[in-house]
Amino acid sequence: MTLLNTLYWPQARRLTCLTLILLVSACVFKPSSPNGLATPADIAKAKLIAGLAEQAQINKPIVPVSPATIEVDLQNDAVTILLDSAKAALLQGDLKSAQTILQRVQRIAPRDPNIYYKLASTHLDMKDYKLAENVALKGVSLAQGQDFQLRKFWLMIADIRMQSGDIIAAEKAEHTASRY
Amino acid sequence: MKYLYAQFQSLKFATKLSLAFLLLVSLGLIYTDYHIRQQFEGKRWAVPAKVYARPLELYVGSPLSSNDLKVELTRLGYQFVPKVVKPGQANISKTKTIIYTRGFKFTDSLEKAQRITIHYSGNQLTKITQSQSEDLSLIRLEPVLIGGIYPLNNEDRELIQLNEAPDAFIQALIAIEDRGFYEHNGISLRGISRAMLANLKAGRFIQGGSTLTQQLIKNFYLTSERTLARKLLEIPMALLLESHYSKADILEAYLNEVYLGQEGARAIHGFGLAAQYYFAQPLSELKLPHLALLAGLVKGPSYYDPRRQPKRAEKRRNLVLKVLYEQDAIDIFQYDSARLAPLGVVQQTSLSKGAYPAYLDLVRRQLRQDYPDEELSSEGLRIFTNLNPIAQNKAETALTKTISSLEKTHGKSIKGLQGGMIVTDPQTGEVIAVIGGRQTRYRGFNRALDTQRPIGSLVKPAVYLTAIEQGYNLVTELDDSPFELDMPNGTTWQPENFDLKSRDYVQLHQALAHSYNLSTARLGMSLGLDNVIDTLKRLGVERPLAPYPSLLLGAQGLSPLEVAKMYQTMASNGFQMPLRAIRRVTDSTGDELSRYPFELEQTIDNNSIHLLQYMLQETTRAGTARSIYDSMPEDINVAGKTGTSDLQRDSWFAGFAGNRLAVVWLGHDNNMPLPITGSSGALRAWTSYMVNETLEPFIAATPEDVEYLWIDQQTGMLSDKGCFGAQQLPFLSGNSPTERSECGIRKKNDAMPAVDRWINRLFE
Repeated sequence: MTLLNTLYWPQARRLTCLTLILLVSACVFKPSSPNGLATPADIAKAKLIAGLAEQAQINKPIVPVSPATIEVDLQNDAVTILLDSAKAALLQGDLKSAQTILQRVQRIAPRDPNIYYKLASTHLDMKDYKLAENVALKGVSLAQGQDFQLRKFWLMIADIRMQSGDIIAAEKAEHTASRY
Repeated sequence: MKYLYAQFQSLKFATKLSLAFLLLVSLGLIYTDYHIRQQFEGKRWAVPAKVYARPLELYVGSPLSSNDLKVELTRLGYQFVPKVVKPGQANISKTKTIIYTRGFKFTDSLEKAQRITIHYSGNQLTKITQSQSEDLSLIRLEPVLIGGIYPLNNEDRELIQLNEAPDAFIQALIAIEDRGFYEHNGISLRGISRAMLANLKAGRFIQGGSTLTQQLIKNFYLTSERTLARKLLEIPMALLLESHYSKADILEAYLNEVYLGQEGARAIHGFGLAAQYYFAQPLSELKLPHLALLAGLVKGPSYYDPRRQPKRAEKRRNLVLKVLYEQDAIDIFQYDSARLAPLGVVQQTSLSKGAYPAYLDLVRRQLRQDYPDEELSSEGLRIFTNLNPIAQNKAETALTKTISSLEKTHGKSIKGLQGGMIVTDPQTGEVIAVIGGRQTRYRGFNRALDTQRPIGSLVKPAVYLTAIEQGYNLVTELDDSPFELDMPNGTTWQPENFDLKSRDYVQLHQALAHSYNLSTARLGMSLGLDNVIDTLKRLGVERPLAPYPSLLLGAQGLSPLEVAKMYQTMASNGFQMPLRAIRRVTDSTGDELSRYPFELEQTIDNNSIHLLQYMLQETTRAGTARSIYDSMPEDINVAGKTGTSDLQRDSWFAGFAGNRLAVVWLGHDNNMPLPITGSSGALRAWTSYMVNETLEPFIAATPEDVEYLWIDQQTGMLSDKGCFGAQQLPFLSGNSPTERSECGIRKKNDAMPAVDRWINRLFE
């Protein structure tokens, strides 16, 4: 039983409520009227705050609310080294090696959208359009909330679709990209 | 005249005969000579394919505990010593681990052998340092060799070059088996006469007098019959061999050919393999007492088997040491310390080879699609897999411990319980552990791959996903009242809830979190069986599915691997992935032959899958799988589904965190009902495994078209942040409840204790 769970006990709730009310009242009961007495507005405010405080304890989320976007650790040296290495392979035209390295870095940082971007471009270079698009879509799903990334990915998807000959879908993707 | 002619004739005949005989012998010799050379130079041995686990990556921030690293190093045969000075040694302390790696030639890069220090803080790797240069960011250890794919004659090989054999070992071998090896020309008359004398003295055959060359001939070219004819044949063949090849060549061939033991059906040939089989280390890392033992083993691997006949083995080893000492090859100190040393042979169960039969089974199946058996077992291929020995170890412990514990609790009613388990990486689709049964080292029926058991409630996410795709939202009210369906064959299908209760209304998300059958059955029928089947296919189920209503409650049989594929799609935000055991196959020199890269296809849209993921998390937090958080830390978010099939014959759990997905099945092979459910059986094994892993929480960003709204739990209507009994639930934009519930500090019909009423009055 965690500490938070104990707050479901009525006694604990009451105690917390009382403490909070006392603390909050101490902050809130700065009289706004010149003679130092609490006005009705003050009281209403105190009630609301105390009420909210109590409810915050009671309405502990059952399922954690998912974040608007996922933070990725950009300081990871291992990732940087491997991405550089992949870049070098790409410059030499060695797509296969680049893919191997990218899959190695994917295992280390599977939520970094940049990796999927690079991987998608290697598939695109190899003319594997279906896989390129799906890898890019995976990048999209991981980059939710990051407009810059989303725009990049949708532009790439447009490019992939264009190269594969599906003009209409490519235009749709471009339109999507323009939203960001 | 006639007499002379007869004599002449007979003479001629004798000459003819001897001429013919000489001709035959010469032809025979020429042929033998050719045969010997061809075999020796050509492909001499059918080299089995080597199968490797994944190489452990060490980098700053990697979720690897000190204990996990120790497990990996043990599997690699590292010796834990106080001072780390050469490859194959390590030293572990609380905050750091010093390793002298062996190095490995990977296809894409060479990891060289080097001495590194790994620094820890808690369960995280904080720094990797090296004596000569600056900090390292990333390093790979050599991969554990987990097995091989052997030719039909079941011979295994670990080829070594002459320079990999320590000098001390060569000395010991020659001293005990063929003292005059470097002097003779294939046969040793001295050796033979010495042997004859010894045999005469003893009155029986005790010594062979064979040279190493003769032994090589015997092992290599001839069958193992001990007949005089064969013994005689050895002599010219040995001479021929020596005339063509150098001592070094012959010695090297000998080192790789000599028979040294038996592991079940598999013959152990060569010292490279024997070093691994008896000591779990490469030959080059062995010390004097071990080398002496191996040298002594040649004479009779079964007779001197160090595991079954330790006393005999010790005596033989010490004899070898004595001979070395007498020849001044070692001094008195070396001799004394070596003969007093323990045998040092490792237990067979701690060998990595043979420890993963279920995983190797999956590897073989995936390979067979691309490589014929012959090529697999004779070309020396190297197969790099995704097996994670650390995860496999933890999974095995969790499963076997849970089964024992359940047997203790439930006694006879559960005796003989079996299980299967699959663990994958939910982000990449790699299979990292496979358990085929409760006896994990036993190569038998592979339940993880081949058992097809009704999945019960594990099917429900597909039904609810279909509902979401058809416009239902998480608070849509479902009817959980009694349900029956008249079947075409005249029977009536009457499902029941597990608790045998029913409810008039239940919100959609609650029905899945609590796994109600009535609401699910009714929902599924109104959605259409074909649509649910389509969803199952998009989730990754490849097997043909019959559109029976009982499908909705999981009458369909699937293997744990198939279930893992289904849940993989849910964990990866709607992307179906093939589950891969193999990364890459190379030839014996390291050139890539084929690869099994990361592949995926989006089959479910982001928004729908997000809503399903919410419900699967609710299952673990508040639903049928909430017991997880009795042992799991609160901040490790996981999602999953319990499954209990009809008549409780199968106990299932499928669930995932951020970096691990696992499916557990428990049941009897003979389909007898169990006294456990998904929650009380498979879930326990799953939880036991997961809490031991270094987990990352499951997180998925809120997709653009999804919004989280405050909902009154009881009514499913819109509420507010500060209202009692409100929770945030995800909704597709435009598909949210419109009615708003009343919001108060307390609900009106709740009885209030006096103090609380007083508190309230304070503010009135």
